[in-house]
Formats: sequence, structure tokens, C-alpha cells
Amino acid sequence: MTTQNASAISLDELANTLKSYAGPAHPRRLPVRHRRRPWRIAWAAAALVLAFVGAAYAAGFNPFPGIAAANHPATSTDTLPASLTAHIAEFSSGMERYGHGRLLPDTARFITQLPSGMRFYTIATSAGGLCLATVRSSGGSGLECGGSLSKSRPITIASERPNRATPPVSYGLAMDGVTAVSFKAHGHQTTVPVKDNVWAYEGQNGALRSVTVHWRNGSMQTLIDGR
Amino acid sequence: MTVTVRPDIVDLARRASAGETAAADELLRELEPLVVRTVRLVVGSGSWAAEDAAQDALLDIDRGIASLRDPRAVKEWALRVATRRALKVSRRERLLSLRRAPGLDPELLAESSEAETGRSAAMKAAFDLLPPRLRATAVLRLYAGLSEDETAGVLGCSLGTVKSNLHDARKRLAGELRERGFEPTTLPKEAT
Repeated sequence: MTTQNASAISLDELANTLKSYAGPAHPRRLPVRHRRRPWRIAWAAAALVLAFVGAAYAAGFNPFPGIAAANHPATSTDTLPASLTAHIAEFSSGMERYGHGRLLPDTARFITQLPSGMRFYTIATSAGGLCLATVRSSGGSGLECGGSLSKSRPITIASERPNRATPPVSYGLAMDGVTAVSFKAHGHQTTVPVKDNVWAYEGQNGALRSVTVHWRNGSMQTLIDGR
Repeated sequence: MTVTVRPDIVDLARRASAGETAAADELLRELEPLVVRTVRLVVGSGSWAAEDAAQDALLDIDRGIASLRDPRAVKEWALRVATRRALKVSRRERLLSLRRAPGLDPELLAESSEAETGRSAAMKAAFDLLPPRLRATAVLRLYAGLSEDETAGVLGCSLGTVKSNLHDARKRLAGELRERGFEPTTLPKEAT
């Protein structure tokens, strides 16, 4: 190689850099996200990471560590509605295609229901992941999947708006010990309590910013500063 | 030097766009390395945002296969979808990086720049500083192997813009390298 014109880098060197910089052929593993945005106004951000290594469970393997509301033997209330089962089948094939395992409907556990009628279920995946499924009273359903909750990522954040007549709802799972979640929405500071490992907020459009988690011991943890 | 896709990809694309599931799966597998690496290079290697964007781009392609109008241009179409996603994410990341430290992950950085020091590392760092549009032009031309016409089609700009983007990128890289203490090595275009 000669140094002929130092005003621009050679095409060769740039091409070689790109080649060596390109990385593996597959995306490095991230939490899988699935967003329902029928009106293109719902937004979602999965905030789920690595496994929470910790307590041993006397009852044996627990696919939902850190989520007490989901840690119970299966009952009839855990049976998933048909609309969600169909949604799971469709979503599962996409997850498998990208190496994130498949959803295991048999592990589904009902965790809570909002006053609006929205029901929440946790579902484990064959790759050790965790999904939060929602079913609205109108029958619509949503799925949000990722890794297990951890101290560094103690909540998940999702948002959906099934139609223009319904206000958007932001919601997510919260691990044991989280008592409330606060954030700025539409310019207003808001705090919502956690009930049965779920937090939810209805009535405002737009992204949640400056999300802070409140722990039972009084400490606070800001998750997405300024976003 | 540049990446290639298998010759029968057009036939795969034709069958996939006609609704053949097995062909769609195979087509995605074939396109995945090109799409993922293109997105990663445009967004910036070493960030989870790039990995996330690559995954989203694959989902965009998966959803869009049925609406593919010209199977003969499947590679350009996939790159257009991937580049659109990558540019959107990289612009957002640039804006966010003005308000906080860039979202580079030490784990990913260690993986992507293993044993790289000196000039090579300086080149990579300089490339990440380029505006997303310049990065996209360089990646489509020099990594994905598109012609200048094809690059213009993917980016939705003129041929002249592609040429000036690429020249601007090379010039800025030379300047960045010099600032980091390295003399840019260049060759006449016809000799490369």
C-alpha cells in the first residue's frame, strides 16, 4: 500500500475494517420483544435481563423466580383463554425461529386482574425466559417476553392500545420487593402501586420517562433516566 | 471482499412471497447474516441497540416477505428494510448519546474488539463517529457489495449523493485517524 493522497482513507482499508467489524451472523441474544400496535401508537420496551440467581424453592423448580404471585400450583384460573392460546402458537414459532425457545403454555399462571378487567398471566419459555401475557375483557391479548427479572432489571415495561376508543395502558411485571413504580408521563410525575407483582397505568398517551422503582426497604432505583 | 448470497435466492423469494412457509424460512436464514451484519455496522457494533435493531429488522423482513413485489431484487429489498431500521435506531441513539454516555456494553465491546489495538481500533472508533447516513452508504457499497446505483436505490437518494457520501466518509475517517496519531494510507481507486 502506498501513501498517495492522505486526504481520504482507502476503499480497501475501509472495506477491510467493515468486514472485520461485522460480527457474528446472528443477533446476539437479547430479550425478545413483541408489541401489539394495531393503531401504530402503542409502544413497548421490554426491560428484562439475566436470571435472578437466589432462593431455592422447596417445591422444586420454579419457572418464575422472584414473582411470588406466580408461584402457586396450577388451578383452573390458570387456564388460558382460547384467544391467547392462538396468539401464543403464532408468536412461539417466531421466537423459535430466532433461537429464543418456545412458550410453554402449561406453565401459565394467572397473577392478577385490573379493575378494567385486564387479566395477567406469566408463561415460561423453553429457553428459560419469561413472558407476560395480557387478556382484555374485550378478548384482545398481548405478549411480552424476555429473560427473568433481576435486581438490576426488576420490572418490565410494556404499553398497548387496542383501539382508539380505549386509553393506552402501560404495565409490567415487578419482582418481589418492589412496592411502586414512578415515572413521568405526559409531563406529569406519577406513581402507581405494585399489586400481585404487576404495575399498571391507564389514561395517558406517550412514553414513560424517568422510570423509578420503589423498593420495600425505602430505597429507589432509577431505570431509564431521561428517556 | 463483499458478502454474497446464494444464486437461487430469487427463486426462494418468489416462492416465499407466494406464501410458501418453508421457502420463507429458508430465505430468512439465507438473508440473516447479511441483514444482521449490515444493521450492526450501521448502528454501531458494541451496543445492544444494534443487536436489538438487527432482530427487529429480521422481524420486519419476515412480516414483509408476502408484500415483496419484485423477487429479483430481494437482496436490495432486504437491505432497504434493514437500513431503514438501522438508520432509525442509530439516529435515536445519537440523540440519546447527547444526553447520556453512549450505550456501549463492555461485554459486547470485549467480544467485538477482541485483541484489537492501535490502528484497527482507531478505524473502528472513527467509523462509529460518522453520521449514520455516511455509515449506511459505506456499508451498502463496501460490505454488502451493492453498486452505486443500487445503493442510491436502497437509500432513496441520487447517485451523486452516494458518491459524495462515500468520499465524505473516507475523508472524515482520514481526519479522525490523523487525530489519533495514525497516517491514513490511501490507494488510487482504480488500483483497489
